[in-house]
Amino acid sequence: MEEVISPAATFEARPDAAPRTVATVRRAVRWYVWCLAAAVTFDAFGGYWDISWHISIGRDTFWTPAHMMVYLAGILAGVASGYTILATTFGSSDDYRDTAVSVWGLRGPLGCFVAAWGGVAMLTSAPFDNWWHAAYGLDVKILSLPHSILGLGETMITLGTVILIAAHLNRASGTARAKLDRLLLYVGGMVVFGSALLILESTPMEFMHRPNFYGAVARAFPIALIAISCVSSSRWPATVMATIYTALFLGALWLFPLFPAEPKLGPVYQPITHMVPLWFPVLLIVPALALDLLRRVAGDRWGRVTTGVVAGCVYLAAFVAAQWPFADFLLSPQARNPIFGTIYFGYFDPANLTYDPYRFITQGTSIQFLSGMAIALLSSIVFSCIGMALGSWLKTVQR
Amino acid sequence: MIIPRLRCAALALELACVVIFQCFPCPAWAHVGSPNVFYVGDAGPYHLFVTVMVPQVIPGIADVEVRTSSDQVREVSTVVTRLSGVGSRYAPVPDLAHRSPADPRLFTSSVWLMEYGSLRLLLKVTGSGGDAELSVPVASFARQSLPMPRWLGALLLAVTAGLAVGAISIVGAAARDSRLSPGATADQRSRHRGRLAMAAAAVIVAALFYLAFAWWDVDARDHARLTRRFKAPPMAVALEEDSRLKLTATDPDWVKYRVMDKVLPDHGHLMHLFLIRTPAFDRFWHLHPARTEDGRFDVNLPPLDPGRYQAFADVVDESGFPWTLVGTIDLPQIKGAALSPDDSGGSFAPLAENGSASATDVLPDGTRVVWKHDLLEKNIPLALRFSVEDAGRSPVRDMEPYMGMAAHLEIVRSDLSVFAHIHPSGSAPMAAVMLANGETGASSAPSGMSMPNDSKMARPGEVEPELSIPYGFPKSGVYRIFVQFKRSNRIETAVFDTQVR
Repeated sequence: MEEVISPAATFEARPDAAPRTVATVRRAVRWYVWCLAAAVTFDAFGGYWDISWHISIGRDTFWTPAHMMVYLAGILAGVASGYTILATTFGSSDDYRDTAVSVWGLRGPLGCFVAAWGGVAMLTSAPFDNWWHAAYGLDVKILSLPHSILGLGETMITLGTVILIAAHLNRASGTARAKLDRLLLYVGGMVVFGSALLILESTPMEFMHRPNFYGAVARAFPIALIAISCVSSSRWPATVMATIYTALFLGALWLFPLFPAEPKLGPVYQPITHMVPLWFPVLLIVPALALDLLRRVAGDRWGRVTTGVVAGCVYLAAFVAAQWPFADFLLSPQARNPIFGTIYFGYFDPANLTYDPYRFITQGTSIQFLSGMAIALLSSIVFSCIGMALGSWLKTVQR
Repeated sequence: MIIPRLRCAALALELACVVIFQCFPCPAWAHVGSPNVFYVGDAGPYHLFVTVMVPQVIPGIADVEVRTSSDQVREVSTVVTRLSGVGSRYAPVPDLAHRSPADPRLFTSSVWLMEYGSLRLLLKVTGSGGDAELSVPVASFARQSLPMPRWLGALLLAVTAGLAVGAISIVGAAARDSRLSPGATADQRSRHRGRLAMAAAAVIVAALFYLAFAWWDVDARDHARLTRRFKAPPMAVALEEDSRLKLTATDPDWVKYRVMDKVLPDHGHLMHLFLIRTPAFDRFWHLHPARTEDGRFDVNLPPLDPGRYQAFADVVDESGFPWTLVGTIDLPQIKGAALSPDDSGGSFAPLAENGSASATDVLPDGTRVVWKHDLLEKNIPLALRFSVEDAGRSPVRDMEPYMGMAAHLEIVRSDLSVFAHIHPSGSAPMAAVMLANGETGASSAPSGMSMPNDSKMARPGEVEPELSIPYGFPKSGVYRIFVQFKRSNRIETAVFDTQVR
């Protein structure tokens, strides 16, 4: 932890840089970076826990532990970022001021401003969401306006954390850089994990032969996988992030049922005796591996928007090739066990009672299917290009 | 119908809507403007008066009040299931009702109504007489959207405006400063880049605001549309062949899903039709149309005086959900035919404008019906108590069940915004009660209901002349109450006007 690095040794000062001595960075990873990484972790785990709580017990009160964990993420990010901004603005440390940006006369790391904004947005969504429930009903859908503000806040906390780590990483070298790189990939894994939660509505197993499913996966993951892989020095950054997501989803799938739970809300369609996990992770590891291989082939061209076109095609093709046949397996009797988890249903889900959950729900005619898949491909290309653009910018962030 | 598998709360609620509109597409309420549930029944040895104040939106919290008639009850717990079918098989963890310290016979609880449609409130009662259960049908639907309080709107506007300005400023800082070397200051070019980024961000933020408000508008409209589906559905009322009244549900969903083909008998009839001459409420008829082959209902009218009549038609769908269809018709003088055995009605004095009519109604045959009541206030659950006396003011001894009940009450507000058809068991339709208890096998019976194999039923010769009907007026105003009962094979109708504060 007490590694000492000199930023001056890690980059060449620009000609317009002020003629002053650059202070020594005393720690490889500063405390507020850890706080933001923890906030991202709380947010991702809290999100998973919260959804599991909804489908196992029901959201009978705002004050569930899972809800608290999600809002703790917002508070932690907001407080840590706010304190850092105040300390930078009014403190005497050149370390802080020299690597700060200026907003409204306040100074601080860009990532802290972004994360603080996210924390305020998350907390703002709480009273709005509360009123929304009173006016239109409780959680009528995940993608409501207040939930979107909450999600935007969470996204900004995540983005702020990534910017913060990237800025530190770009200024670091040696073991400090390696440590920051690992932290960046960990946060990237959390981003992928959280993204998987956002597209739950589109990714149950019976949707896995629908274009909408592939469109959702094409929109959810490429930005994080590609942007972070632009910054990371790892040889397999996308694969590492996808592995973290897969491992955490599998761990939750296998561990959550060990905890007892009963529905507190009715009507109840399934006899629930334990926490219900979310489903088996999608095979993101395959397209992630394909992106890493493409990155090695692309070399210096990785990070260019034009490369994003190829990356988008490779990403979706690899995913379809892996997930399409795997979906057949998931719906088969061989997957109906605790390992693959297709036996779990929420308390309010009349699966096996009013419908067959082990049957694909297809979508329209073959022309509609093909046009849907074309839209998915276009989405994959567009979001991959955005990932490239964001990644190339992240690679240059210093503050 | 394909129902996707749902594993998250949001989709479950969408499922509820799908189930509502495709399985029983047009739920409404067997009352107009009177959504709360009032129910009196026996859970084993315990006599209970249950009130369910339903929420404005679904999912939402319903307030439950249980009043017991003795000190025997130690504990009451509440759970919600579907009224019948697959959702009635399992129950969530019961909520233990709170016992009032001031009144040990009063228990209160709050329960979530998570789905639209026919639900069942299952009461589990523990006391010195052992454990027992009582099922109460609850019709669950959203009624309205709540407006946003001004202070909250102002707060949210201020915070979101701050967030918007903050976002634009942060984007500007990112473009201007983020790539500067440590210690360096922004040059003219960087500052220009920052300003350009802020301008672009301002455009994007403005677009996001526009899209957010448009989205909000769409959601609000969708909710308003959903709420409207639960308003009393319209019905075409037409006179054919001089005295034959034809009733046709006109809502497109009702036609599409042929709801009328699947209604359940309630008190032995598929439909209870109430004709009230407006605005005086001086003619009232309770008739029972029969279903025709084309899915409509018709009935032969008795001799009727001319005028504009308001029609309320109560039916219960196959899920046990009660609805009231509404319509109007201008009728000429109808010569009419003789009444069917369960039909009733007649001529009455016009509605007293201030509702301050006598508490005793003397019928043409000398029967006296006395209403014993104190001050009436809106949203206060109470028992409407009537006693039936002969001309000598002695309790009559020849009361009989009228369609299985000791009495039927129809309550109408002067502006027709409230209509309720209730019984000594309360506001839930008997068809729903039967469904609820059929599913559980609970040995509970609603008060005053004629059901086989239950010692507490009203049987011929055993109907008491003291009537008690649970209800709560939903809003203040002038009401007319029609009290219908049967004695010596004659159906009698007494009328009372009242002012509710």
